[in-house]
Amino acid sequence: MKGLHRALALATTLITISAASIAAAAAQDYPTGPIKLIIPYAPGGGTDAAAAVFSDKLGQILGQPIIKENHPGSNAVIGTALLAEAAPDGQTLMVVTGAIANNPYLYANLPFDTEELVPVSILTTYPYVLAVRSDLPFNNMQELIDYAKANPGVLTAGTPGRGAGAQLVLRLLNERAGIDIRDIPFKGAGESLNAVAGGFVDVVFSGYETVRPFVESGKMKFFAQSGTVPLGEEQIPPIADTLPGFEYQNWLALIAPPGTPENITDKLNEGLTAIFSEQEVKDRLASQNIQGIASTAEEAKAYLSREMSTSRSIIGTLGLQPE
Amino acid sequence: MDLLTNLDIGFQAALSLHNLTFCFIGVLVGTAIGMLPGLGPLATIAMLLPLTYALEPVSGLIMIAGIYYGAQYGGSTTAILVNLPGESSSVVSCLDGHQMARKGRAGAALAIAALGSFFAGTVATLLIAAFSPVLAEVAFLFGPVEYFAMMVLGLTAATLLAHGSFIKGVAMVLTGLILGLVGADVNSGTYRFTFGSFSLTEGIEFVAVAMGLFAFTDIVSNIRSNQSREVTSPSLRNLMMSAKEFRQAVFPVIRGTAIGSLLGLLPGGGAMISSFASYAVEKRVSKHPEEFGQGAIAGLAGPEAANNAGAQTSFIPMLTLGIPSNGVMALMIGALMVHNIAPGPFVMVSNPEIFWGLIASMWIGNAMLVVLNLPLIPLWVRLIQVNYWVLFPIILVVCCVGLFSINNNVVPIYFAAGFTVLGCLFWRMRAEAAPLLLGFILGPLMEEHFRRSLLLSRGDLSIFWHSPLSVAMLSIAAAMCLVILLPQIRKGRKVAFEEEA
Amino acid sequence: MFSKSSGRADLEAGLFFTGFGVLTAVLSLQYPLGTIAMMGPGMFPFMLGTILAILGLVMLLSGLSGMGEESRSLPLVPIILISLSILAFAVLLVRVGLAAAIVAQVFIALWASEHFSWRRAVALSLGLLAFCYVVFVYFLGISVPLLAV
Repeated sequence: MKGLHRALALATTLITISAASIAAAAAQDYPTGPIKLIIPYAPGGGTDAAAAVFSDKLGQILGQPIIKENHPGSNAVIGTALLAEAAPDGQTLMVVTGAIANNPYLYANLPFDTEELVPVSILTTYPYVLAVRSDLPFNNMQELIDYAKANPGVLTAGTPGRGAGAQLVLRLLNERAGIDIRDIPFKGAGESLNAVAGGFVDVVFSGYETVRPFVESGKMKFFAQSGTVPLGEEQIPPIADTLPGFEYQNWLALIAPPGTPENITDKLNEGLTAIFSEQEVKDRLASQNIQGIASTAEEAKAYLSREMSTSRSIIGTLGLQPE
Repeated sequence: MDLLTNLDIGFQAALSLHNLTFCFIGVLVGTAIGMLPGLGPLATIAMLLPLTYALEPVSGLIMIAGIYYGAQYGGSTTAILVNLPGESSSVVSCLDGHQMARKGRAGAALAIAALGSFFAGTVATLLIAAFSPVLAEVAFLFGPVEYFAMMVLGLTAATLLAHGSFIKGVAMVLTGLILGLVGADVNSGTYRFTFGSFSLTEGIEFVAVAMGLFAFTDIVSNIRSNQSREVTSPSLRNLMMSAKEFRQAVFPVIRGTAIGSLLGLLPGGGAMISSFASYAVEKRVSKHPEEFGQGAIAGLAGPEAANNAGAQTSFIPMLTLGIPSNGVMALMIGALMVHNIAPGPFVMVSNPEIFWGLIASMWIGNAMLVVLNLPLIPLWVRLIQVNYWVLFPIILVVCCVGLFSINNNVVPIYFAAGFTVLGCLFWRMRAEAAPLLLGFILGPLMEEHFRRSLLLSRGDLSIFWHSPLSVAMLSIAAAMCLVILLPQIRKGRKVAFEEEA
Repeated sequence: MFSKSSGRADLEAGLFFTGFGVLTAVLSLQYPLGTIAMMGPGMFPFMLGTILAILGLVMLLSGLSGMGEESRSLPLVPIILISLSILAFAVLLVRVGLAAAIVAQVFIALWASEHFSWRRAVALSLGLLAFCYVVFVYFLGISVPLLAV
């Protein structure tokens, strides 16, 4: 018994050391404890990278650590459902991508109502970069389309799964260009990028920052992106140069459970506005070719419903049905 | 030699009193929290990560590395002492480590785990320092086909974990694979076998399965038979390992280090499979395979070394390519980004003191772990000499609170109860639980890669023998099956003949 | 409890695995099977279930032929009590709180052992309550009420 008591006492002391500092941050009304930030994707994707830009700073401003939790699966449906179940006290938040606007039109029987979620702020918008493995014999969009037409069904694309923006933009490209690049679903953007870098899959649509290391190490090349103007230092041309009118923007938003009161979203918004006006943050986002936006909750809500109708029309053109 | 200059930069950054203190705190806290069931390295780091943000980058990373190794060692400690695998890699430590503890060799088991891990950590650190850029390429040799072949090989090896019949081992692997499929399907997003319950969409909680099949089943089978749990009375001589035990551990540790260093390079389960692979190898090369599962030293030393080496080399793809091979690495990337360092091929050039400081801190974290834990071994050993009627309620309660803490949800506790009953049935049927657990972890991965391979080849099965790597791995798996099956068939025939006669 | 006869373990294991395999295969038919080139969500579990059922049958045969392994005898009372103690913990944790959950679990579980005494159960409950409160609730910040309501 004596040994046991000592062991327990020791364990307790050890934990005291670490936890004392967490407890030191005195709790005001909100937040009352560490904030859980749900990332509805597997670790290593673009959402992680973008969330890292603001989450720690926001935590410092609010005086509570923000703890990221990855809950991947079903194109963010699993993460969103966890959010929808959480108490509307601002202690659980989620970073979503444009996928959330697609899901109502792709998934039958969602366990939540997308319109009831409370968008806090739009965070960023960015186009998808089309990256291809570096040993493929084409170097611009026109050549890629010609190649794909000459060899139908040969090219493959890694996508992060059903309903993800990167999958829709691929479908959109296939449809507009009249080609057939086959869709190979992966668990998250990170895995699909690795597969392209390893030469197992041919092309991938992903955020600039996630593609950059592979281009730097010579595993991939990029020559097109889904925005409307040339992107970044490299001046990557838009696909619209080859296929006029082609555009697909992905975006990230901070979102709270249904019924979250305004004073909480206001407090979060204040913090975000302060962060996004910092020069350092601006520079960091600019280096990732991401446009940072801190919006009000109303603007975010309007943005979400606008995006939902865009998604509906894109998904309609592609002829996809909810399953 | 560049390597030495580089390591010098690293150690100068890491070896200040200030940084050593943070390393110490990290290891201490990591060990303490890692010992609690349900809280593996990932949860521990996630919880403590914010604390490190305020520190300067090198100190922060050193502290995280300390927590990482500490939590992992803490996990092995509970696995050995109370047969409680808190995470996938310590499942193997349970098999022979816990048997050693029961035979009164808990001290030796803990010492072997610590020293084996330290050796593996040292070698892996040197490998990282010397060959990072080259080794990073290994990850790219593995596509869906190769991953599938690796899973087949891993699962075949898993059936070797069982010391019962081969066919039961295979059946348990399959059962594990099926249980692992519960939840949302990656390709189509369909929810499978969830029976309408949303809490199952992320699958059955691994910790609940592991606790039910191992710790709780163990309690049920021990509760009435106190004599089997009796631990040889402690004397100081008993606490440390003997020269003989040391010698028995040397080669397994070296082999384990090699296996772990290699498999750790692969994103997606490589590091995890390495401990299983090492166990299988040790059992195969051993002159006394019958000792495995009864407290064989090689069965603990090899996997512990493999586990640690794998955990360490999984830093390589992260540091050089920015690819996280597991959750912990993803958190590390997050920690680097907080300090405005984007992992990728250029970190080494742009932030040498951080890159090499981190590498040096890996070694320091490992060394600190040994320094801290060897003196504590007598304390832990005394823990299991506590009367069993005191110990088992403690295990039950702490496990249950741990299960609840995973998601602040009681569902995992219900599952643990269910798996306890199932575990008891398996125990009665003489079916080993370890293969099931490996199948459970690998099930979804295996399906994903299998389907993806065939999607790429448009249904052409020959894709599996177009890749030399895949052919090699599948052939080894087939050979392994033959080696196991032939003697059993021969024996079966002999029995049949004898009966006829 | 059960009489021991040769091959009992294989017989039972065979029944279990066959049953589980068939169940899996049948349940997976509710999902699209797809083709080999484009597998649906039902294909892989269907294959696994089928193979498992076949293996189960092989085991069953070897059990019937009396060549299998002996089964171990199962201590029925501890299984029921330990599972019950876990279930009680889960139910009471959310309904009544941590205090009740721990006390109930300790009492039920200890009852399964031959060393049950009221004093021991009370002492263990109190000790564990203090430990869990300090470690999990206070330091690790897990939101579980000591006493709900």
